[in-house]
Amino acid sequence: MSSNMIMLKSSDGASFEIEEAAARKSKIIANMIEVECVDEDKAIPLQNVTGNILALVIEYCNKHIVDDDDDVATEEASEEEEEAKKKKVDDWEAEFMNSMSLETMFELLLAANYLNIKSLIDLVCQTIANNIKDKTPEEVRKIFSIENDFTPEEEEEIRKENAWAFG
Amino acid sequence: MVGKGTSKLQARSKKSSSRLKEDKINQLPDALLCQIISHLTTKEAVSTSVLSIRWRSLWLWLPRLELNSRKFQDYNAFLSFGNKFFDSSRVSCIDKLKLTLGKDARTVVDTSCFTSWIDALIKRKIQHLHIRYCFKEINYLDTNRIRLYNCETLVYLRLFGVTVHHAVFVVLPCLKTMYLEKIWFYSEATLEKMISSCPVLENLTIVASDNDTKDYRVHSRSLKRLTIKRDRVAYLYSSPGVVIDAPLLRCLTIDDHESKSFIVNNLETNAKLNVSLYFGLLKYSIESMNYQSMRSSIRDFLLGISRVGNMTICPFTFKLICGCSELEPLPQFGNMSKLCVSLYASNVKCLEKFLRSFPNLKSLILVVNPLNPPSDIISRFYDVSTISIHFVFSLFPQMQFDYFMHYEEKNYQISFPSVPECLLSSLEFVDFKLEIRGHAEEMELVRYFLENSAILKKFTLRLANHSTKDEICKGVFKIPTSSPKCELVIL
Repeated sequence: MSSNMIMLKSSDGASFEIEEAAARKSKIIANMIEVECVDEDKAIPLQNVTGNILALVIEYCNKHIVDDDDDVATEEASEEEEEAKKKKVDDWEAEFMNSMSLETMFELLLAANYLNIKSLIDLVCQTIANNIKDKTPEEVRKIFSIENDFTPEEEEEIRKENAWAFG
Repeated sequence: MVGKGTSKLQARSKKSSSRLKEDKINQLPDALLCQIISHLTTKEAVSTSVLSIRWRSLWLWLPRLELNSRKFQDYNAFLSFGNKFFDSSRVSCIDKLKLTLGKDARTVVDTSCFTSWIDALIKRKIQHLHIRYCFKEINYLDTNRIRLYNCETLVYLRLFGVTVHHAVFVVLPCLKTMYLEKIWFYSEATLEKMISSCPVLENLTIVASDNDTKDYRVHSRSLKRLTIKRDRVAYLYSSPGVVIDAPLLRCLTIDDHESKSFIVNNLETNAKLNVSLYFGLLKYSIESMNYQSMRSSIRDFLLGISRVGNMTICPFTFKLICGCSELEPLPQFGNMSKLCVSLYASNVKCLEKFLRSFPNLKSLILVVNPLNPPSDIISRFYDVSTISIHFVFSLFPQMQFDYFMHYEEKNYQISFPSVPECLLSSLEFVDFKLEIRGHAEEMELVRYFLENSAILKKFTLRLANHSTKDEICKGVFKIPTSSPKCELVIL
């Protein structure tokens, strides 16, 4: 419980206190801690992340503190326990992502990418991919406001080229 | 712990607009777009090529791919897709590939392209490769076409329906997991050679091909988990063998209806074992039957595994081992702490003698199969001549009983002459995984364990949903328990 606390500062000046173990989910922050450029009293400035997004990142990291480096423990724990634990995390993640707009998701993805938090990148990418799944290209363009800059001929050619994927 | 500055609620603007106002996805770098589409099926990912010019070629950088040649309109379309994707000059990594090759009768199979595909995969640092070759006429894909000689990045390899030549690998320095299913090994040395090319291999699964009668020799200094599956093939008359020498092996599963001998030279102490072995019994014909050698196979196997700590055993293997124990004492399994025995009702009477071999047993799970050996096994004995039946019975006397009682005997009789050491000094957990219906024999068995297990901590029973359930319950609670603090759990 007596874990070290670290201060993070968002691009819009909001400060957050976070346990070191949670902050280490970010490879960038972990590196900073390794090379000891973290001053105890000073907040780490994160120029590419706004406060509202950083709050989400921290919420995610806090939830995932324990499940890193627990390979040793998993050998011992029973399968059912593992499964129950995993389901709990999955449920939490589903709820976490579900409460977010697409705009927020993209910002969160960029932040996760900047902070290098692999599991969060995967989670957000998976959620965005779920919005593409089982949709026609027209529907996908609509959802993400993607402008179709192909001529009808070009589009036809692409469909022909990989006809199997459009079947 | 959580933020002091801003409220996180602000970030969660409600899901009212499920559409974006601007093309925000366009602001993501290609690498992230690629990661997004890598969470789709390959087909869906490729279909994003039609979204806009920017998306047109993103799929070429997919790090994970699952391709099935049958899903293409024809084989040529498949080849041209592959040739485009498996371009060895592209620098991005391909982490994972599952390639299923199957064909319909009309197309001509040309596998020459695979060589260049595999070259590209090696160059692009493939880690996880799964190739399934499901052709009807030609059974196996030749590894001359998939030369993986020295793929330095490969961690996981799964092959199905492939012919493996002798010199297929030189070294796979990172390979940790290998699945070999329905493989045609060029010679008996091929598997050995494959395993020795993988210095850090930890998990190995071998599922034998129908017509494979080769011995499997597994020698590895790194292997931790091994699974061997060999189904029964009626028409084969040569019984192969299995030899294992893997000092770090801690989890061994063998489900083998064919092999006649299993020699385990080395295992980690306290390893976990799950066995379903027939010692080739099902295929002995009168000409080839050698009971002496079967008995010595069983003995050798038991000696080889005598240091395991956890064992699960199938009814037929239990039966065979008990047959042996009638004729000679079983070895002692001093490390065995957890045992899960499935047994036929008719073999319950052998249990006491069997348990004498496990002086330090802590936990026992009993699964009583209400039926006797499946009728196909019995019918195998009909197949062979009466002389061989006679031989079997002389070796395994209790079988004779089962054989004749097969259709009548539903219950079992027990009268154990003594109490094995483990009940007196080590057995703490007993779990009966059978639905108790209140037969006298079942209750006798329950009584035996409750009355004789001196330090039992927990005894678990399952009652059949029966009108007499409450009565059975009462009956069980009336049994005097030998252990002062035994928890009785009735499910």
